[in-house]
Amino acid sequence: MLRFKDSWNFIMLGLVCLLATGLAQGQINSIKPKVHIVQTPDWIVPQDVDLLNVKGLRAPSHYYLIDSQVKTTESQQAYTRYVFSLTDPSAIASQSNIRIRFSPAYQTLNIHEIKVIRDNRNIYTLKSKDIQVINVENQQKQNIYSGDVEALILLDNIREGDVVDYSFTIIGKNPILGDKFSWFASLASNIAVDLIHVNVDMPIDRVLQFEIKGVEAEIIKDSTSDRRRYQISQFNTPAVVEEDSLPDWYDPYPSIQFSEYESWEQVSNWANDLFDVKGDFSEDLQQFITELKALEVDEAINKAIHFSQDKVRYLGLEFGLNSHKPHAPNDVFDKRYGDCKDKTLLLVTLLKQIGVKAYPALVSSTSKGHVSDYLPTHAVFDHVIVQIEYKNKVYWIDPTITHQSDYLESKFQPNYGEALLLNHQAGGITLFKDRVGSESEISITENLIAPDYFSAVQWKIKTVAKGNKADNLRYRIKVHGKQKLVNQYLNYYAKVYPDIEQLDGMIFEDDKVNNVITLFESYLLPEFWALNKNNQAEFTLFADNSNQYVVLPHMIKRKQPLYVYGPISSKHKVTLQLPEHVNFNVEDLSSKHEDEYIYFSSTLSYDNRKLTVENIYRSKNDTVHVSDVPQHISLLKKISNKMSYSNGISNVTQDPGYKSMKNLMTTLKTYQSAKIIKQGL
Amino acid sequence: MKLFIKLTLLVMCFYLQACVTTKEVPLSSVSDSFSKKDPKLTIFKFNQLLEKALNEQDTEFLKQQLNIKAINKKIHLKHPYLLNTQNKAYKLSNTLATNYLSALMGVSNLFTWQYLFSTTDIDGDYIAHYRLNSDEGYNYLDIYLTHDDFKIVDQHSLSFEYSAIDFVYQISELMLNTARDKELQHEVKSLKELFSAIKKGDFDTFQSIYKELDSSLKKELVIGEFLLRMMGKLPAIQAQLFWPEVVKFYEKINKDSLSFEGHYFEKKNYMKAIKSIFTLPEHALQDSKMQSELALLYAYEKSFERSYAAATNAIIAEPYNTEAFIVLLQVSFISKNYAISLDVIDVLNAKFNFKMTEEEIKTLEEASGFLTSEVYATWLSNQVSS
Repeated sequence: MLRFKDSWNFIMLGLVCLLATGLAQGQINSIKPKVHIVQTPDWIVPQDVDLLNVKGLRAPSHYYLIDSQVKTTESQQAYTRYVFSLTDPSAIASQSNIRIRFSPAYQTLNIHEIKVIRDNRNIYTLKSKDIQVINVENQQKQNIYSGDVEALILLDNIREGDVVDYSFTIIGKNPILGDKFSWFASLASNIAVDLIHVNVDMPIDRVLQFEIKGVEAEIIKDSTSDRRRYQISQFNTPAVVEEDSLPDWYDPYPSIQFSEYESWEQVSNWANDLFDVKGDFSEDLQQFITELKALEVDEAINKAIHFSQDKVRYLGLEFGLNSHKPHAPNDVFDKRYGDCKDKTLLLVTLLKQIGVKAYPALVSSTSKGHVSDYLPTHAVFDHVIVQIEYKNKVYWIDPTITHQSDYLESKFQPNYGEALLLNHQAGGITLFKDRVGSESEISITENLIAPDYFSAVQWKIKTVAKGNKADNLRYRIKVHGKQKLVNQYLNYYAKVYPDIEQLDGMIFEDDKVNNVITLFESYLLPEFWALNKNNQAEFTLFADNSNQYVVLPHMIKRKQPLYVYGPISSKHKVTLQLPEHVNFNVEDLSSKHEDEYIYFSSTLSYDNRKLTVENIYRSKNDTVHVSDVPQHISLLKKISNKMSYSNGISNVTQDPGYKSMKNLMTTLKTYQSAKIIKQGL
Repeated sequence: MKLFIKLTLLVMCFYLQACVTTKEVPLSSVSDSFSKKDPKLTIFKFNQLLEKALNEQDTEFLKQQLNIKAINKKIHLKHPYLLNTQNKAYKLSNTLATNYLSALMGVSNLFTWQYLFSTTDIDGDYIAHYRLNSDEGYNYLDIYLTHDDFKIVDQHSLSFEYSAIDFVYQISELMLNTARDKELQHEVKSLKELFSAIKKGDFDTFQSIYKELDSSLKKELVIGEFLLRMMGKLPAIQAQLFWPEVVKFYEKINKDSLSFEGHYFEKKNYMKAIKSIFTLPEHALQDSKMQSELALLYAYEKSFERSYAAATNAIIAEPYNTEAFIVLLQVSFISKNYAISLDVIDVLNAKFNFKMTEEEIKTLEEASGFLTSEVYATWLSNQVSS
């Protein structure tokens, strides 16, 4: 499938909560889309495509041309043309349908022509009736409604060898984005292309910055009396192979960015007005503010955050004029729904009313700490959170996260790396640093207690989750219910121990002051020991929680960086208490593995009937540089071999009492619940 | 104030352990040098050596493991503001080292040491958990060992709330806070005299001072700890006078200690005896002996479900400890669950080659019900025929 990045895609990225609208709340997509068939405009720089003399056509499709041209006038015109031939039947199925996406609230679609060329002859003429316009709400499940539509043209009678040539212009851009031009275009694709052409046509008196990434390329400028063009042509671009496990911020596709913004301050100046609150508060909102003011400041902050996070449901209505402008706090408070910018403005407003410094902070959920790698632009941001300055500390609160701890100090603060603060003296990009409560940690302690080598083994597990891990667990329990979690865990363990029995109900302790969740589980494992033909009782201890963080990528030989899961700290300790002292030689089996990106230690120890495996994993960086990948992968392979420890105890059937002991332990099974003993104290 | 602290600390250092002391070990013989441990010496292997040394009262081995600098460092880690000069810190560490040795030897006179396992504390040092066995009963003592070279830096008898270093700190805090409080300053002298009276076993003086003591000070746990620790040092007659006051003190402040378990047991107040056991930290509470103790207490309370749970825990904690099985057998007799009785007798026989005769069974409480039961009769006849 063709992948092509442009500014449109940037705006529509991921959460895309910045595109919520207030034009017609409750009326999804009430604007009639405008689609016309018109001639190619004069300003287009035509690109010749030689269909006859190309040798060695690629399969399943051969792309001759991808042409992207933009003209800024009173309304933006974005022209696109694709020319490709379908050289394999598999391409016919996926590429015979033309889909052009646009937003009818402020855009018009002009289709210039669609040609199907067979034996050097165009066999297709586009008619209006061929164009169907359909809604596309592919983010409904995330409660995001864009109002976008697709013009769909289903080409008939397409055969292997046909060449499809179609072009269109989308006129108009979201007025909320202001006058400054900002645009991205890819200079390569996931398929090879004979020619990628980019053209930006600007008034001559407007200064435009540009930056090319990922490829050596030259921009050609030419001017007339009133306009300047910036063109770039890339011939015979190879297909970009997008390797797996890439860091979110990394873009493997060479690209060019254009921006009229000269600084990040200009970007924040544009956004500042959007987040200005005008007018009086509604009676209900004022009442709420009064209640907050009556509390101690600490308590008021916590209550304001809790309200914006958990009492205002997330709903992104992303169509119309208000795509970047948040709804007024009155509306959000009244309707009890909003997207990230709505919740942010509400929270900032509440905090300011109680005398706490708070600012909207534009962030990017994908680029994160690499926002400043780009030229200043509004297009890189897809999310907004709140920065709070309180008692000489800085906090970063995301009002779209629910089920966090109750206190500011212990709330997990996601690391978006870089932010653009609004209505703040900072001006430029601000770094996330010294974040309180930014660590995520999981610590699992297991105790296996064996009365002998035949009876069921008691298995007690204590899991302590902090930070983001605590938030996730809290969410799962509140939303799905504890019983579902219990069943999930039980069935997960049953993959290794099919006969597992639950001893006590799962105990769930939520310390919302420190944002720590502790889970207590206890089970019986009737088949923990495996008796082999040599009368050895074999066992395996699994200390493998960190296994999920050290997964090898599919592509080992890489030219692109590798993602490191994190930040996370994981500790997994498993202790087997044997019925008697056994001589284990464990000194040489402990090891440490570390590089610039991760730390891992595996310790095996023995202490008076207790055999313990402990694995500790810590992420140190989020990206492995390409040059370090081979060594890092070797490290991951070594680590993956340390997730469990197996051994066996010899001559266990020489214990003459093992059968009667097993019989007794079976009788006493119902008394192994820990709950029983402390009752009544 | 400095004088008070000095006096307080010197006085306190003599009362760190409750056990009867043997001869004092001269200060000069306690090691002052550091030595790195053998890298192959694991914590388990070290404790095997330590257990042997304690049971054999090998003072030379113990002296090797007592190091004043290490103790000083531990004091500083735990309570950085306890002492404000190096000299005082050194003196305290020296005194503690001497007392540790005396106390350990004192315990060795009365108990057999049994190493359980080790954990680590917040400073990264090891805490070696020991059970103290005797015919009269059990106790638990933790020995704090430095991580790198296993030097003994602190001790904690689990009958008490505080370890040795923490106890010194608490006494110091009590005296300091009293001295700083304008309304309590006059009580500093009383506290000194109170502790002195307790040390001397002068019950009348203790009673008269305590009666007049400010009510806020009467609830200070450290006073109770002081009393409790002295019980093992005073002659029996004097200890008997103090004992009811100790019990009353703890009851008034709603605190318990393992030390009271026997007391409440004798008074047949089994729930209080159980609560005394539950003051133990988890590792000692889950030990086989304490679970067996709980099993019996719950059985006397007729809480048979809990009794069986504890008895089962006792067996699982130490599957080769015959006493745990005997306790379960006892519980089965009290609860009249003779099916379990037979299962236990089978295990004792098969696993331990311990054939319980009728005479031996009769030594257990409520055995007669079992011995006259049909279940037993059937089992017996099957034994005879096989």
